[in-house]
Amino acid sequence: MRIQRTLLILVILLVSLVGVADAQTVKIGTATDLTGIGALIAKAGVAGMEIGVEELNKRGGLLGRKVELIVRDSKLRPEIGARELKELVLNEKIDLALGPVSSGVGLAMSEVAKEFRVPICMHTANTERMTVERGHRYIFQLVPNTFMEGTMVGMRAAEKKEWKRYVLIGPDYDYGRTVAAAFTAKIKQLRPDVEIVKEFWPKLGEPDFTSYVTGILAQKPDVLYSILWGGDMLAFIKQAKPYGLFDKLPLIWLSELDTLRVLGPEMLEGVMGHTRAPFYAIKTKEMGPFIEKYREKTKDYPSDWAIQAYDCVSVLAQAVEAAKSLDKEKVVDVLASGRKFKTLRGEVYFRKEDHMGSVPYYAGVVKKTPSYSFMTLTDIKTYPAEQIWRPVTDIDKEREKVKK
Amino acid sequence: MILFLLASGLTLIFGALRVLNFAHGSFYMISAYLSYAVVSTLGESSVASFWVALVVAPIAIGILGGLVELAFFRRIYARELEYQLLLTYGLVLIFSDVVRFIWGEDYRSVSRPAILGGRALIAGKPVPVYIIFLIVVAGLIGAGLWLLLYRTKLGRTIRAVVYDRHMVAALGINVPRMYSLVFALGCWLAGLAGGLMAPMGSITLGMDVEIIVECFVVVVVGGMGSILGALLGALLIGEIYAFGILIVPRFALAALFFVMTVVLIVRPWGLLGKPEKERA
Amino acid sequence: MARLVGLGALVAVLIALPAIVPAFYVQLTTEILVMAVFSVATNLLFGYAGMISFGQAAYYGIGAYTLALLVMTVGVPFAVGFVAAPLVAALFAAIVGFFCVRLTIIYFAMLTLGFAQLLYSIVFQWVSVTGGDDGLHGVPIPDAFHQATTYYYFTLATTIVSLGVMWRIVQSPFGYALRAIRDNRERAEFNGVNLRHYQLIAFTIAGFFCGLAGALFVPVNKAVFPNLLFWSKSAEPLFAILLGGIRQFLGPAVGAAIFILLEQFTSKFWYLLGLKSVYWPIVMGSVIVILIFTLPRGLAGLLARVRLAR
Repeated sequence: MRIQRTLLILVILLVSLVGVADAQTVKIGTATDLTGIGALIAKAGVAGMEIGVEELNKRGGLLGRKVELIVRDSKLRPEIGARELKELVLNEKIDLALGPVSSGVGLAMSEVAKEFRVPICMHTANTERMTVERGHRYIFQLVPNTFMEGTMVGMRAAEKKEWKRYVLIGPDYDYGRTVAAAFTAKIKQLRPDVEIVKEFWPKLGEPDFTSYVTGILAQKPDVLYSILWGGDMLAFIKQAKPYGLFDKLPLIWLSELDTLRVLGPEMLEGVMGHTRAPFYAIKTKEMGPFIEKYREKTKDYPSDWAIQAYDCVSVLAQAVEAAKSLDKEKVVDVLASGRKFKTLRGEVYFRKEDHMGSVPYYAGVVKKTPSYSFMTLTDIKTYPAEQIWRPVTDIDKEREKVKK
Repeated sequence: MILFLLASGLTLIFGALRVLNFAHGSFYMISAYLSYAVVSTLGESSVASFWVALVVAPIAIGILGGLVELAFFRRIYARELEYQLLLTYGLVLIFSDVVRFIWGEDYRSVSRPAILGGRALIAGKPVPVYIIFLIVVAGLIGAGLWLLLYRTKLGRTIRAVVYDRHMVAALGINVPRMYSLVFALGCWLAGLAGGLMAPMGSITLGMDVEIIVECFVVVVVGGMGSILGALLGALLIGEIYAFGILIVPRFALAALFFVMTVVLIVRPWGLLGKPEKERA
Repeated sequence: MARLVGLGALVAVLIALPAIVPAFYVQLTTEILVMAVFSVATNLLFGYAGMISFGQAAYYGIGAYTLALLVMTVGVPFAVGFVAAPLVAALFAAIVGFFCVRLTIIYFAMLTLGFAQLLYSIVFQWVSVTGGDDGLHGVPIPDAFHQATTYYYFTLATTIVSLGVMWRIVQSPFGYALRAIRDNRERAEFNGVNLRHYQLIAFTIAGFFCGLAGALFVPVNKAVFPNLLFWSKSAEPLFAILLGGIRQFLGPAVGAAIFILLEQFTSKFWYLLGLKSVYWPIVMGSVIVILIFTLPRGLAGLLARVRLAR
C-alpha cells in the first residue's frame, strides 16, 4: 500500500516537473501575495486578471491563440516571489508577467523580469523605487506610484490654509515611508509655513493603537494624515474613535474600498479621501460591463486592486496585438513607445523615461450615498498623472543620488 | 491588557506543561473570528450578541485547545523540545489555512456594544469605556486565576504539577488529565483575549503571527510560568512601546527585543519567575 | 564502503545535473545546497550538541547582509565580502553565544530567539543602511556568477567543502565531547569536559556556517531581504532536520532538499488541481505534524528501519 502511494506521488511529481508545454497558448504568469496580510488584495487582483483573460478568450484569444493565466503564491516573501517568477519564466515559458501586491516582493520580481527580459506589469505594488531607482526596460507600472500619491495629497492639503500643524501616521515599510516623503516634500514646497509635528510608524499589522492615539492627541495637530490601509486603518479608526480623536481633528486617508466596506456605517463621514481606482466614480464605457462581470464572479464590487490588475492584463494584450507578435522585445517596444492604451480608467500611455503609466489619482470626500451600503468618495476630483508624477528632469537626479 | 490575557494563558501552559506554544496566537485569532461569526449570526444590532460571543467563543476555544492537547501534545511531552516547537509551528500553519478556508480573506469587524462604546473623563482626559472594561476584565481574570491557583485544591494540584510532575504522578494524581485541563484553561484565556480584541481592532489573517512574538516577549520578561509576571511584563512592554514610539519611533520594535534580551541575560528566569531546575 | 560509493554517486549526479535537468532546476538545486549547509550547520547544535537554538536565521541573515553591505556600501571586492561574511556571523554568534550558553535548554532557546528578533528588527527598521523591508537589490556579483550554471558549481563546491569540514568536526574528539554533553551533561562535566566552553565553540562554528550559507544565498537573487532573519526562517532548518533525520550527518541536507521541493510544488499542485486559492500552509503544517508522529527520526531513520527489517 505504502509503496503504491509513494509511486503515485512520484508520478504526480514527475508530471509536474515536466510541465505541460503547449506552444499554442499565450501564457500570462504572476506570483502574488495570496498568503498573509495582503491576501484580500491579491485575491481581488487575481479575480480581475481572470476576467481579463476570459474576455480575451471569448474574443478569440490573442493573435488567434488561447490565453492562459498562471497564478502562483509568493507567500509575501521576496525570495519566494522571485523564485516563482523564475519558475514561470524558465519552465512555463510565460510570455507576459504581472506583479504582486507587496512592494518588497515586487522589487525582487522586477529584478527577475529584468534578468530574463520578460515584460512585467505592476498593478498594485507601487513603490517608486521599482521604476526610478531600480527601473529597467521591462517593467511597467499601471498604478499611481508612491510619489504620485504623496504629491497629490500634498497638493490637495495645501489648499486648506487653516491646516498648519500636521501629524502623520503610516505603516512602517516602504510604501508608508515613500508616500510620506513625497507628501512632505510637496507640502513644504507649496506651503513653507506648514510644520510636520510628528510622524508615527506602527508596524504593519499592529493590533493595539492606543499608544499612538494618545500620542497624536498630545501633539494637538490641525490635521492627521493617515497612510494606514486595510486592517490597520480599520483597527486605528475603531480604537481612536472612543478617544474622540476625530471629533475635531480632520483626517486625510487612502479611502480604498476594502476598508470602506468593512467599516460600513461606522466610517467617519466627511473625511478627505483619495483612492486609486474607485469603480463608482469612473465613468468610462468599459467600466459598467466590468463591474457586472466582477459582481457575477465574486458577488462583490470590484476594489481598486481588481480594476488595476484587469487593466494590466488588457494593456499587455493590446500591446501584443499592436506588436502583432509575442516577441518580448517587440511587445516592450510597443509598451514603451508612448502609444495610448485603453483601460477602465481611460486612455493611458507609459512615459518612456521610467515606464510609469499615466494613470490618474482620484480624490474626494467620504460620504454616505443612497447607492451603496457603505460610504464612498463624493465630489470626486481627478488628478491627471501629468500633474502629480515626478518631473522627468528629476528622474535622473534621483537615480544619480542612489548610485552614490 | 489583551496582551496580559494572552500572555497569562501562554505562561500557564508553559509553567505546567513546559511547552512553548507558538499556536497560542492561532487560538486567539480563531476566537476573534468565532466572535465575528456569532455576532453576525445573531445580528449586529442585537444587544446580547456581543456578550454571547464573549462567552461562547472562549469556551469553544478552550474545548478546541483541550482536544488539540489530547490529540497531539499528549504524545510528545517526553520528546525533545524542538519537536514541540515544530509541532506548534505546524499547527500555526494549519490553523491559519483553516481560518482562511472558513472565513475567507476579507477583513472582519465587530461593533462594540453601545454601553461600552462611549468614553469617560478621567483626570480631565478622555478614556474609552472599552479600555476601562478591558482593565476590569483583566483584573477579574487575574484575581480569578490567583484564587484558582492559590485557594483551591485544583490550583494546588496544578502548582504541584508545575513544581514536580513525577512526584505528583507518584501521589496518584491523574497528571495527563491535569495537563489537558491546564492547556484548555490557557486556550480559554487566549480565546477570551481574541473575543475582547474582536470589537477593538480588525480581524484579519495574520493577526496570529503578529501577536505571538510580542506575547513571548511578555512571558519571557515576566518570567515563564508566573501569572503576576505576565501582568508585569505586559505593563512593562506596553510602556516601553508607548515611550519608544515617541522617543525612537524608528526603533520601537528593536527596543522591545532589546529589553527581552537584557532581561534574559541578567535574570534568565524573568523578572518574577523562578530559576529553573536543571532538566534531568 | 557502500556509503562512500553512494556519496560518490550523489556527487556525480550533482555535477552532471545541469546537463540533465531544465535550467530552473539548476537554480532550485542551488537554493537546496544553500539550505543544506544552513540545515547541517544548525544540526551541529541540535543533533550533536543538544542545543536548541531558535534563532539561527540571525547568522544566516548576518552572513547575507555582511556580504551585501560590504560589497555595496564599502565597495570591497566580492571575494573579500564573501570571506568576511561567515567570519562576521561567527563573531556575532560568539557574542550571543557567550550570553546564551549559561542558560538551561528552554531559556537558551528563548534567548537565541530574542537575539534573532532583535537583529531582525534592527535590520527592518534601520532603513538608511539596510534598505528596510525592501532589502538591498542589485548586489554586484562577479560576472561569472551571472551564469546560473557557474554559480551552481561554485555553490556545489562550497557546499562539499563545508560539509566535509563539518564532518571532520563532528568526528573529532571535540565532536564526541559535544555528544557526551548532549547525552549526559553531568557525566560529561565529571569527566572534565568544560561544558560552556565547548558549547560556545559549537555555537560559534554553527554561526560561521550559517553565515556562509547566508552569503551563498546572496547571488541567487543578487539581493538580501530582512525576512532572511525572521523567526520563521529559523524554523526552516529545524523542519529540514526533522524531515531528514537528526542523528544522521547528511539527514538535514536531504531534509533541505525535500523542504524546498515541497515548498516549490505545493503552490503548483493546487494550481494543477484547479483550485483557486493556494492552501500551501496547510500542506506544510500537516506534513510537519504527521512527520513528528510517524517518523521521529526522519527519513534517515526510516531508511535505517527498513534496512534492519530486511
